Amino acid sequence: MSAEVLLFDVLAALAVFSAAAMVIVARTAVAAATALLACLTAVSGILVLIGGELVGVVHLIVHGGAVTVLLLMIVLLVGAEGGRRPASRVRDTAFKLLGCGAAVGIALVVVHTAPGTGVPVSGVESGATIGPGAASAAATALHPAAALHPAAALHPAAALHPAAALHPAAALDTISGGHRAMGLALFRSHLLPLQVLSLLLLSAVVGSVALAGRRAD
Amino acid sequence: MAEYVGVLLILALAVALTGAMLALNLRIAPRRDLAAKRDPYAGAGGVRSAPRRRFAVRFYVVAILFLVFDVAVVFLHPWSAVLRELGSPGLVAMALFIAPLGVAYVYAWGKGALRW
Amino acid sequence: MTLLLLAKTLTVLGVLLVGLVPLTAWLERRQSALMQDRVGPARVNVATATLGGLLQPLADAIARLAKESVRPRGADRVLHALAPALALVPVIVMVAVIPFGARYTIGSTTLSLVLADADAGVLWFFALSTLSGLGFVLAGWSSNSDYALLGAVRAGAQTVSCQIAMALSLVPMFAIYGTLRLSDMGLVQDRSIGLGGLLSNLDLGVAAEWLSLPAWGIVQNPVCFATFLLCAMAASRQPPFDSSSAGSEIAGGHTVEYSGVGLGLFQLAGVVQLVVIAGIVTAVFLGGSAIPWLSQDRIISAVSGFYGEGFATLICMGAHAIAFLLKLVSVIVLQVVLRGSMPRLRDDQLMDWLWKGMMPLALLNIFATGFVLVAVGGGGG
Repeated sequence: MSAEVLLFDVLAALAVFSAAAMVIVARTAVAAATALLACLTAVSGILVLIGGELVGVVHLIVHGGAVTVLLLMIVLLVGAEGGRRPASRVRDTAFKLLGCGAAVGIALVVVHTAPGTGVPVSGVESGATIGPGAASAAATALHPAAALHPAAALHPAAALHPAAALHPAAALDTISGGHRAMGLALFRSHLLPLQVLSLLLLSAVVGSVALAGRRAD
Repeated sequence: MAEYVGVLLILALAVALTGAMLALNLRIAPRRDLAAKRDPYAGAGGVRSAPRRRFAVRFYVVAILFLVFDVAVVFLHPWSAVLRELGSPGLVAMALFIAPLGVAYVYAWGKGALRW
Repeated sequence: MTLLLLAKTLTVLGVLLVGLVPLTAWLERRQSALMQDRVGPARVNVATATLGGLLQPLADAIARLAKESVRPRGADRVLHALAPALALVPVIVMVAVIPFGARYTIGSTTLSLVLADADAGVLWFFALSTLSGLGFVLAGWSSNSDYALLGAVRAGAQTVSCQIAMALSLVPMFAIYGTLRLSDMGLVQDRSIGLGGLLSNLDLGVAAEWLSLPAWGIVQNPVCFATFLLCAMAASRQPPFDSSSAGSEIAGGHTVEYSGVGLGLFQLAGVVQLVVIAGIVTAVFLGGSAIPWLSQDRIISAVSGFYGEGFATLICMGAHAIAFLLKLVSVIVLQVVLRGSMPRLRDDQLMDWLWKGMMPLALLNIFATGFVLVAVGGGGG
């Protein structure tokens, strides 16, 4: 078992455990949001592990940061007291944690035994595979953008990187990176989806401001 | 991906260090339980406290605005790194992308969502 | 390879926790005292020598560790204990992306003085600073106390607003450098912008070569420097942007119900954040580890005449690390000057300043810089 597979197992176990704990163990909405944060952080780690560095960090910024903050604010807005579950006995909590552990066990067994093709870990350079393609499939399902990840398809784009003429600095041949490939791909071939996205964001702002305004009246 | 081994190491060390400090505190700090000490503000002047109440809707609006603008900013970063290659079409594309968000910003401002 | 990385990690943590953190904590106290015409820390001593209060941070650390950590009645047991760790761990991890030097080739091995030369280094800084902010929000919420909850809500709104302003304010620099990788930014800044063209009428002779400015970010876009530094200070909730913990208003806000090691971890997080901000500012705006007018090639070629190239590279590496640390400490001093010379913003003033001041300004700067870059750089593709 290579280090990458071990690392994947640890991160996946953390993600599944905190996701299960969010539903089963958490007594308040805030505790659940904290568990969600742990889950999202682990998923971001998995994204980095399979080579999607930019997607990983953006995932952490948007989901780990923004979405969690939104959740916390909503919890504060509606008042958390109403959603608080009664305290459970120690024995019950132990059983609940056992249930979370079982979820982790099942998930790991499935990932390692289910039939699949197996995907390369961390782009093209490493030959190691994580069991069957579960990791990458899950990541792609979570994030359409992960399909853009800078492995094979986008690597040629690095060749487009700035000619020395644009930057007079000597060491410029060392500049590279997935974020540049992503930028070029987004703003050369995916312009229309971007514009549509911006309209979607506009409608989100208008909708929420209008709703919030009506409640305040 | 190899670059992130360093992150993993420092994360492990940071967690270990924090855990060690918490454990050390448990070990060496005195424990004198006093009912008043566990009141809010350590029992200062019998303050009554009823927190975990509801908060104004404006915090929710801030969170939504943050979410929306954060998504936009995320697109600005890869764009800025390749702006020189994209040239003026890139600048125009970003202006078109930002324009609806500018409208959203003005709308939110006009509706008083940015008033505190 | 792994051993080298472990050694690097331990060195970075050592420099941070044994060197920079106590120094910053001391500067916070001693420098503020000087600015406010006070004596400052003067009790802690070794055989009556107070060393200007230099031992105070050590005494503070021992005090925090040795005092009881009280958990208020009705507090959420798990979250109350977890929140200080959530505030501290992300800011320590941020140190991994700070480049303490450039890249060096000795023989066939390449050595870089950054722990994690991440592709999108600055973005990790943004992501982790939000996570750390959530630690402060959770602290206030879990304490079951009025002022703590008020502080938590303010801290949450502040964290997210600063996040946007901070992320926007750096975009012009990314456009100028053409990268998000912090170590590459250092390389691009390791040169000079000649002023020769402007002054070509004068006969300057040898002086023309020295009549140039280092191509640092602060020279190329000073507005960007000012907006980022202020927004980053606001994001770390230090004065004058500390309305979420305002001592004279809400009695410490989110950390009011913390004592002992919990309080200590929050304070440590604040100090480490100060150091990290100084590191990012140095890397992006102050040329990273570059020494003005003496580029890496120049140093190495000058020294290698005497000692050979391998040794010359090592000397250059040392000089770069020292230069980086000097710049970093001066940014810390600057931050303490700023926090000591401005009155605290009320929470509504802070939000107004961020949403209606910093954000439009940063956006304007992005398009102005972009326009100049495209106009000067010419043709697209």
